[in-house]
Amino acid sequence: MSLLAVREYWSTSCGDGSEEFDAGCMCIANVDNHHSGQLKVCVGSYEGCLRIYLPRGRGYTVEDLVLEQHLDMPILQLAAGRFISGIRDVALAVLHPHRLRVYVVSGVSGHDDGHGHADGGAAVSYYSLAVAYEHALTRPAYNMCYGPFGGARDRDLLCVQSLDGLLTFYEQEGFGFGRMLPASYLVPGPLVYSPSSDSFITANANLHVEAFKYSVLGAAASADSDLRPPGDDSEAAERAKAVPRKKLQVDWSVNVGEVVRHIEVSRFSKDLPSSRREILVLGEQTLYVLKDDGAVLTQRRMTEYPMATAACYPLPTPDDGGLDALPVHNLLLGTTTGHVLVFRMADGQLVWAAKLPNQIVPVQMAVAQLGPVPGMIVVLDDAGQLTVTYLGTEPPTSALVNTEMRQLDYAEMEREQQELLQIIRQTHKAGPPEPFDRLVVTPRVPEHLDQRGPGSDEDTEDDDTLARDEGDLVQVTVCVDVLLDDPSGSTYTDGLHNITSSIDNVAQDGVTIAFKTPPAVVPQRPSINIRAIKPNEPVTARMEFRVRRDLLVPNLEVVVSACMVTLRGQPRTAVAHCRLPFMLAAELTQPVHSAVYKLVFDCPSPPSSLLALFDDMTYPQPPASNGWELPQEVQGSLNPHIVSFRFRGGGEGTVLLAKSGRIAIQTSEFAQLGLLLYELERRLQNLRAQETGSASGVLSFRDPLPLHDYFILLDDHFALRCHLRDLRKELEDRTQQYRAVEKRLLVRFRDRNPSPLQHLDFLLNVSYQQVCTVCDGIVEAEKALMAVAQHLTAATHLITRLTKYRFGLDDRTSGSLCEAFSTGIAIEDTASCGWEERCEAAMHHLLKTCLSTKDKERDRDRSVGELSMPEDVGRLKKRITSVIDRLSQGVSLHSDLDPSAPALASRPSITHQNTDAPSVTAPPPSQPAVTQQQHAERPSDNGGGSSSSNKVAVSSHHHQLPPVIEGQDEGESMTNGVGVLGWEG
Amino acid sequence: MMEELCVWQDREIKFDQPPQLLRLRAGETQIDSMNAIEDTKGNNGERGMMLVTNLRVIWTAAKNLRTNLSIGLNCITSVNIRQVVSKLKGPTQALFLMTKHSGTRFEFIFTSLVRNSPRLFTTILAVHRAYETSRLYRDLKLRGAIIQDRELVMLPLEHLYDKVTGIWNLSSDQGNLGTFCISNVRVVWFANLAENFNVSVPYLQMKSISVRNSKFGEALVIETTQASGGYILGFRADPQELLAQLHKQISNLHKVFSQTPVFGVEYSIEEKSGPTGPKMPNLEDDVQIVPGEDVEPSLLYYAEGQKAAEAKEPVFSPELGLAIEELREGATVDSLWSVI
Repeated sequence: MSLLAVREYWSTSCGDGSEEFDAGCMCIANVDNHHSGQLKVCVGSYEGCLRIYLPRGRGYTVEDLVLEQHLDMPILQLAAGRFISGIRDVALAVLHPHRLRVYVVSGVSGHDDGHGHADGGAAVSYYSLAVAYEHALTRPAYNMCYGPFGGARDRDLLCVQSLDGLLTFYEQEGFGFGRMLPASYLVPGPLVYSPSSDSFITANANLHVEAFKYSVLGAAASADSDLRPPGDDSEAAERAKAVPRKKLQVDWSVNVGEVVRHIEVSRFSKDLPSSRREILVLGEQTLYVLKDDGAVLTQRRMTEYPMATAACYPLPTPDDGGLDALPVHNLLLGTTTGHVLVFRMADGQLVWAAKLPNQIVPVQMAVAQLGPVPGMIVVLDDAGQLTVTYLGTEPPTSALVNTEMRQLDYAEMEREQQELLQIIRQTHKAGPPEPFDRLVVTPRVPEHLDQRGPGSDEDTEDDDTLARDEGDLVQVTVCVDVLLDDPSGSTYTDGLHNITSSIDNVAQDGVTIAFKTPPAVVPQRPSINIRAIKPNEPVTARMEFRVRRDLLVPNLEVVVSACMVTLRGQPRTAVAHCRLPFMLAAELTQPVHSAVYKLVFDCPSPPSSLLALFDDMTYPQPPASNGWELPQEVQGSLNPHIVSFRFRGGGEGTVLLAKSGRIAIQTSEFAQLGLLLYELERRLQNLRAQETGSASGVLSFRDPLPLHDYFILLDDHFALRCHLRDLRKELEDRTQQYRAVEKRLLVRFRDRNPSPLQHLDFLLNVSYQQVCTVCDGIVEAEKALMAVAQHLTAATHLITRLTKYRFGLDDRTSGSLCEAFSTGIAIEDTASCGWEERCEAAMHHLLKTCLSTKDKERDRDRSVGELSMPEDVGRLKKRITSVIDRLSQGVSLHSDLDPSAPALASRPSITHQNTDAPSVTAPPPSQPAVTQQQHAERPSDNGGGSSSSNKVAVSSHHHQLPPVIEGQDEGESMTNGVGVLGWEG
Repeated sequence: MMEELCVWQDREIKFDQPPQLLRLRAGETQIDSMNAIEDTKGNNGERGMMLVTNLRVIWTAAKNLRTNLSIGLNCITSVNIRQVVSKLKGPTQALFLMTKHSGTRFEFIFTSLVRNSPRLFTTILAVHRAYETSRLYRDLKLRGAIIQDRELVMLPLEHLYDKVTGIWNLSSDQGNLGTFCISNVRVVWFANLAENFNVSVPYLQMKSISVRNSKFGEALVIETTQASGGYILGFRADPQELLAQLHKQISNLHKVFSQTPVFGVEYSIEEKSGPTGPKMPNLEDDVQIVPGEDVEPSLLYYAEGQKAAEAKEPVFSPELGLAIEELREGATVDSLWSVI
């Protein structure tokens, strides 16, 4: 608020901050009656120390303290007046809680024996404090006032108010009288004497300001005899009690409605008669000026200033005022915010405001001449800081702005935060950074079969399901190189530790190499453990792979995984993929022309000879041969346009190369198409890659997809699963029955007097037989399921490849499709989750998301509930059909992931996600929807070479028996003996 | 000649001093040390360490030892606890030290960055109070209430060595007969006839002690330091030998005091946290940095946001009836007030 400050002139701390002060504790007067009239500041503390200061000039010096004396009783109030009878000198009245003492203060110059008062020019050596008289107080005092009560001349009388509202009057050395204030004086208020009306003004607990005439108080005094000082005889008191009390008359009373803090008698109005006074009343929020008859003159709310204390001070009298002109007063207001406000009370204007230094909150203020200049403001705060001040007039110069030079370096902070965030992110998400040492697995697959011979026969004697050729095992040995790649001996950090020595990184339990293959491909052992491995020294492990005769080989993929745990307990893993040679699954045979299933492909760059394409199958001539030789008749029938294979698991497949460049594959079983296509595609790609460097686009397919045959396989698979489920349920029932019978039997046997068995033993026997039968059935069914699963795997692979060729899908889309069909190496089913529900959920997801026709559906919840075995596979078939249908319309599986992928033309809004993408508006090549229904009727749009393509749709005659579980392989059937599926391989 | 006992530590405020000046002097003891204190006013956003001794408060920035403050306890005029906004802690309670040094008011704001730790407040408040209430150890006092029943009121750490009667004080034209009390902290003379007439001179404030010739003959002259007013106090004792003995005794005691000063500030931390608390880092270098373009650090701490202009002498303003600072040429009280 205030730009102006209060300047400090002189300042000291009374009592070193350990004493307390309040209003009334300061009194400014010439207490030692020095001839120069020099004013001294007397300060008394509640701790009972009286100090008298004589500020001589700017700044405090040790000499300014002229007197310091402990009075041993708390000092409530100081007053200077003519309190000693017969002397007009000023004496100092000190109010203690139970004493009223009047002291004579005198300066002593040091040249005599100490009693002589300083006079003339003699310097004062010290000041003496002598008690003139004292009064003992009957009740604890609150405050006092003094004045020429009752028109006394040249002397001041004292009036002490006690805490309970007793006014006691002292006529100098003598006791005057005591008078109890009315009961409304529960809490004592400020007390002042107004000489103009000879009355006492105080405030009561009713929030009224009241005035009592001295004469009225005096007249009523005799009634209050019990208020005499101690020492008076009690008889008089008794007598006085008998006299009825005269009611104390209030001269006037004003309701101010607030607790009154300060009352002062002064003159504010310029034209006030010299005999009149005005009364300032300071409430908590309001300033009142009352006439001395109680009428309210001014009332001013001061809510913006929390008032602490006030002081009235006289203005200099105008020169033309005459001798008896009394000065007009101004008001000085101290606030709890440490400001001093000056009000010109003649018109109520605020004329000055300034801030006290050091945030002093004054408890008492006064205006006096201390030093050469009159009008100095003396301020005392509650801790005893006594300051003599004057108002500063220098407007402040520009303030130094602090903020700019200690500005925080936000760039640096940002950098640091990023650094920390990165560490946090790494630790939380990705974990610590990749260690430098790693495991490398490199499988080496030979082109040919192993050396013919019974060499490695020892561990397979009991297994007669493995494929043999004239008694020799058909097997391939794969070498796996394992290398612990470690930057030799170099120090690196894995986030937490510095690892120096590579010796630390040798494996704890060696390296374990595991193989994952289709069930039809059997490794000699499930895993290999390499005990000793040293960093940077490759170790080679060997593993023989054989094939089973009883299972279809859907593909020849092998996943080789190696894992180890370092001595520090950190795991290291590595995975590699490899593909076993086709020779393992099939061998060349004489051309076979008849076939049940046939697919025809367009080949843009056909190979010149199929024999070249399958050159590894025609075994090299001895002596380079490893013992395997083509039979003579096969050797003789080699034809570059037709190659036939006999699969190790049975059945034949043929690849035909037409002169037009088309390639047809035909097999005796539908699923075998998958393996044949898989191998053909690989070889064509290799050839293409050798020729042009690009392996894509080797084949295209234009016929309808053989979904019908696929669905039959699917039905078989599902029916087997249902059957297996029923068998398991039955096993549950049978075992329960067995346990129940067993229990009863046991009860009977335990009985001392056994009751007849009642054929329970027979029942138990039958139950046991049933359980065994069901278990056998389950084993058989599981075998069957696995066999069908291989077919399904191969067929699913076939369907996804055909879909790719048919609709020209890119690698990415076809890869996603494979994932959606969940064809890994082989389809696996467990009791809890089977392929059908997985695939159905995936298809549903595709249809709901990237293949959806409705925009809003994309945003729906994509979560799939718990997977459970469906009731039938109709919905799955429908969904597969729908997915393929959508794909045939050119919808990409990646339209929402890859903005550059072409989107459905009818929904250009899909492309809005990336404005960079060209807005695809050209409709995709119109592809007829491929559905199962259309399948049969669709006329072939191919040339003559594909005339048998329709056969795919109609040639599945022997599969149309869904209720009856049927063997999948040619010539194999299932017999339903005792409610159990028999599988005759 | 005796070397002057120069104790500036509690009387001055120093900014960014070389670290050797922050070393504790003889008699200065560490009362408390606190880590993680922010100088919210001058170095907002920087944490530092605060060391409270019996003479001063030292704050050193954690990052740069050359950013430091040494605030003498004598300069502190008030200690408050108020709400501030700290860059390190947000709105919080902070310690406000209002200080005054050679006519300039400085304000210091310290924030403890330790959550819910009132230690900063309690320690400084208590130490400041202990300092304030022990001024008799360090300050010259005239006419104080230090004598009761013709006996010196002893200070807690004070030991009275000698009491010599029949000493004349020669401060005024005539001598005053009185008594010397010589203790380990000060020399007190008081008049036999008036207890109020006394002087208490701590060794700390003695500039020189000598025997000189005066108009009263040989006299013991004690000269006080400029800081306490530069008084020359003369005392006469009979016989001559007594004077010489007094001179020797006071000189020796002064010498002892110079080596092991007693400052009288007593404070003990009740709950000792940690074994001994962190020590002042003993990192020192003797590289003197030539003051460059940097802003004078004291500018950051002015209580009124500026260096108080040299206050002009007061004159009486009849309009206000109060003393005001001399107005500038052409300005009136009204014009100045109406601007605001």
